[in-house]
Amino acid sequence: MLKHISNFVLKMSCFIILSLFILNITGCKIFDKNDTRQSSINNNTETENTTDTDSYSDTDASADIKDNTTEGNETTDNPTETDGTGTDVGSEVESSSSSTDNTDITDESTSSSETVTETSTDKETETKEKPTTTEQNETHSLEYYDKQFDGDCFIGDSRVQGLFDSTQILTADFLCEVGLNVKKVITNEKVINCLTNNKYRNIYIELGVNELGWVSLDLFENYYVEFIEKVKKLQPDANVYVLAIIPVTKKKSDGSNIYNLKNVERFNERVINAASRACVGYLDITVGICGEGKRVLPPDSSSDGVHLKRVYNYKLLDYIISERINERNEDFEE
Amino acid sequence: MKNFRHILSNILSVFVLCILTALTATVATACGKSKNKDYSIDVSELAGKLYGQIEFEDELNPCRDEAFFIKYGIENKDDIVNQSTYLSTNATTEEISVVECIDETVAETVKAAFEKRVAQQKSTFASYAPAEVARLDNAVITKLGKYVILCITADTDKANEIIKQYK
Repeated sequence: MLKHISNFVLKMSCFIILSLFILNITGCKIFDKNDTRQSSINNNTETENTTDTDSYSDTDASADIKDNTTEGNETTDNPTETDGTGTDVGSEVESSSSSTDNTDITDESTSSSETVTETSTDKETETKEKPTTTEQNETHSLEYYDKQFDGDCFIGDSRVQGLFDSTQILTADFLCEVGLNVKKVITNEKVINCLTNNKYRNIYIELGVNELGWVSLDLFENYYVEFIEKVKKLQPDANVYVLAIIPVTKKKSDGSNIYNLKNVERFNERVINAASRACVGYLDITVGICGEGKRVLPPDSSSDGVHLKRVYNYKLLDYIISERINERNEDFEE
Repeated sequence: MKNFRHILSNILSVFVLCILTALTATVATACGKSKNKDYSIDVSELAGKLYGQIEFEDELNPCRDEAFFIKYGIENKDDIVNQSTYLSTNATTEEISVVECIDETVAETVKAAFEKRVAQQKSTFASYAPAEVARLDNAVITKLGKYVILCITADTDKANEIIKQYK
């Protein structure tokens, strides 16, 4: 009996010792002391932004407006039917992105700074300066713009979408959609719902670039008036502003039969007429973006000659602030 | 002699048993590692590398946290530990987003949100700028543990190469 017990103990001892030895040499870790489950949490203080969440949901609803209304068959109000190049707006990207191609290469140890770093494995790769959310504008802080446009509403096409994407004003609603035009917007469910269910202080409408191929300028003007009247009816207490159609770059203008400076001016005359007929303000934002007396986008202002880069979107906002009824400037100190 | 043979037999059987046990443990551990690797990614660093090392046609701008939730329709802000996102001016559909979620389940939700975003963009740009559809078709959406990466670029090889460094 004793012999059997000693034999069993011997077996078990050998089993345990050998198992531990083999486990050790094969690299398996039973207890990993260096288990780094805590990842590099880098809580951004902006996560705790105290901005009104109601406005987010409103903006959220507007961020991806889907107009399910069926486009009419009138050849006069569809740019794609005038010359077959209706997709022109977003189809060409000019090679002007070099303005951001800063080749400032820094050491890995400076990764916490505002420049993109490189590792030893990709030293041959050029890096470019990384913009930050906190220094988006040299003149004003993000909070300044949040405050200036608090309770306001922007309505428009992809250019207004770009305005939100690059400036990210969180306190205003952006009722925008790629390809939106003055006809579609009248029946756009989300736009109408937001205008019905909210109360805005200022409403800025920027439409027209998608209509540049329309044959009938009268139709464009009439649709625009109809929409403004609808906005006024739904928002009787708001200041409504119609913004000029932002011009395009010379390169874009020279290469397009539709999206050119001549058409922008022709349609802008009708935007002025529409604003006048509907008795609302007209803001010639071209002055703010391009400079006094200039009616063409600077070459470095856009990647595709149509959509504004961040700096120019801030110029647009600054112009609006300076030209609108400035009820908010006196009570806001940056 | 008989006793010696008996002891030798016992030792051999124990040795074989030990090897089998160790092999099983090794295989099990290896499988576990491949499925549940504890990734630790600095989202800002990875997004910065994608931004800095890929040639984008459009200007990309960093996205504030609140705008990120709006853009991708993520309702529960507590689900996201950190994010680093860059949006285009709408001249193109180029985009970068690197997100750290609280767990892998949420990461699956964020991945689905990215897929939805790409599908919506494809639908929007199909008639507006058809050239963008190809870019969207090749959008890189990768989940690494509780991290999710979206990169919409024409240079998907470079994007994958950068992401591979974190796998």
